[in-house]
Amino acid sequence: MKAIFAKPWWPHLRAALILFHVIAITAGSIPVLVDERAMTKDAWQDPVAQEEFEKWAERLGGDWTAQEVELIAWSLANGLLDFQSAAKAPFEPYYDYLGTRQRWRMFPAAVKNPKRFRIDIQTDGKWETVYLMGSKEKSWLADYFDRDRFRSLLNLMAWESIDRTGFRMWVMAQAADQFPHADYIKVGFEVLPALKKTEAIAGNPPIPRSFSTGDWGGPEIVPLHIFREHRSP
Amino acid sequence: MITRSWQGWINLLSRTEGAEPLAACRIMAGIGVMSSLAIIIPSGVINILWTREGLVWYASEHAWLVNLLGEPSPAKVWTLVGITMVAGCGLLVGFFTRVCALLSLILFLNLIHINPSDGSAYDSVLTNQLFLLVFAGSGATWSVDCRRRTGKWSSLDPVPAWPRYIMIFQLVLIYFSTGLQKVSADWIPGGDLSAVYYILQDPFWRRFDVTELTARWYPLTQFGTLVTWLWEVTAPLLLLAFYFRATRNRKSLLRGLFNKVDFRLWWAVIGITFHVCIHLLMRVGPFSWITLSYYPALWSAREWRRRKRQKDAK
Repeated sequence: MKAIFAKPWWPHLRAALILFHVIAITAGSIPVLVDERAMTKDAWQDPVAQEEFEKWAERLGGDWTAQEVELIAWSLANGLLDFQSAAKAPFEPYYDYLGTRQRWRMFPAAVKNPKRFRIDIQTDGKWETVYLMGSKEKSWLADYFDRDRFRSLLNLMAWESIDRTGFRMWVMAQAADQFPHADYIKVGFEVLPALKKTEAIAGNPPIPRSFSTGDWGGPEIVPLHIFREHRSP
Repeated sequence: MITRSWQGWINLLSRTEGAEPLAACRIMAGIGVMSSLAIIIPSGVINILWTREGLVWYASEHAWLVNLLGEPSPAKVWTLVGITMVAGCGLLVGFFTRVCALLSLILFLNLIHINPSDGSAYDSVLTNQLFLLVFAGSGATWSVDCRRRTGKWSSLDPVPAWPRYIMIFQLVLIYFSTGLQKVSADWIPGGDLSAVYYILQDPFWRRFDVTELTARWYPLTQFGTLVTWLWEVTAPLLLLAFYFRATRNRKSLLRGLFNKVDFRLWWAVIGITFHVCIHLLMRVGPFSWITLSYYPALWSAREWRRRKRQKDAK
C-alpha cells in the first residue's frame, strides 16, 4: 500500500476520487420543494397545502391569487425534482451501497393536521381504545409503537400510500391472541388538529376530527375470530 | 487556470495534521452506531421490523449481505446486529479502527436496508460519517491502535487532513439543504414564524405535550423558528469563515470581523443549543448526538492543542 502512496500519480488519483465524492454528495443535497411522493394533484388540494398557497399569495401582495401561486409552485417543484433526479442519477449506486445518500428534508413545513396512531377493540358490543399514540394509559404494544424506528414506519404509513396490509395483519393477529374475548378491531390514524395559540392558552383540548381506517385497504371493522380460526390446528 | 486550480486542490488534500479532532469524531460515531441499535434492542422491535418473524419477508435489494445469507431470519439478523455492536465498540475504542469503521458501515447499511420504510434522517448522517472514517486516520490517537503502536494512548503523529475537511463540508450540506427545503410560510421570515410551535404539537415527534406552555411563550417559539431557519440557510458562511482563516494575511473588513470573533465558535454554540433543544423536546432518536459527532472536526489539532496549553497555563 505504501508503494502506491509513493507513486507520483497517487495524489492525482486521490484528488479525483475526493472530487467525485464532493460532487456526488452535493448533487444528492440539491433541495426540492416537495418530494416525488407528494407530487400529486390530490396532495396539493389538501386544505393545509391550500392554506400555504393563500399565505404566500397574501405575502406576495399585489394581484397574486392562491391559484397563481399554486401554478407557479407546481411548475417550480416539478422542475427542481427533474433537475435533482437527473443530477443524482449517475450516483445512485454510490449512495445506496456506500452509505453516502443525502436525505436532508427535515420538517419542511409544520403539520397543522397531525395524525396519531390508534387501535380500538370491541368486546361484548363495547368499543375501547387500547392504544393511542402519546397516551400513558392506552398503551397496548406501546413498547413497540413508541420506539424510534417503529414511529418512522408509522409516520410513513400515516402520510404515504405504502402497502400496510402486512402491518395490519400483524397487529390484528396480536390482538386476537392477547384479547381472547374481543370480537372486532379497528386500526388506523385519527386526525388531531393542532391548536392555535389562543385555543391552547384557553386550555381547550384538541378534538380528534376523524378516525380513518378504511383507506388502509381493508374493511373498517375487522372480526378477530378470523385470526383465531386461522391459528387453530 | 485549470492546472493551477487542480494543483491547489491536490495541495489542499495533501495536508497533514494531528489526529485529535478525527479521533473525537470517531469516538462519537462509535457511540452513535451502538446507541442507534441499543434503543431498539430491548423492546424486540428488531424481530418485528427486520426479520421474517415480523413484517419483513424479503430484505430490500440494497441489503445485499442479508440477501446473500438468505432470508432475514431472527438468527441471522441478530448475528449481524451483534457484530455491528462489536464493530461500533471497536470504533469507539479505536481497535483495528478502519476495519471497524468499514464493518460498522457495511453492516449498519445492510440492517437499515432490510426494511427501508423504518429509516430515520440520522441513518444517513451516520453512514456518511462512517464512510469518511474508513479513510480517516482517526485511530492514530486516543485509541487501542495507538497504544499498540506507540505504547501510549495518545500520539502527535500526523494524518491526512482531508477527511476532516470533507466532514465540515458534509455538515454544511446537511444544514444548508434542510434549510433551503423549509419553504413553508410558517418558516420563512416575514410571516408568523409558527413552524416550531406547530411541530412541537405533532404526536409522532414531540417528547412531551407542551402545547399550553409554548402557547404562553409563543414569542420564544417564533424566535426559535427564526434562528433555526437563518442558521440553516446561512450554513455556507462556515466555509467562508474557513477561507478567511486560511487567507488571514489578506486585508478586508469582513475577513477581519470573521477572524476576530472566531465565527466557528458562535456557529457551533448555536448548533449545540439547537441540537440540545431538539433532543429535549422531540423524539428523534440519536439524531442530535450523531450530527454533533461532526462538530469536533471544526477545529484542527493545532487549535485543540493551543487551547489545551492555554488552559494548562491558567
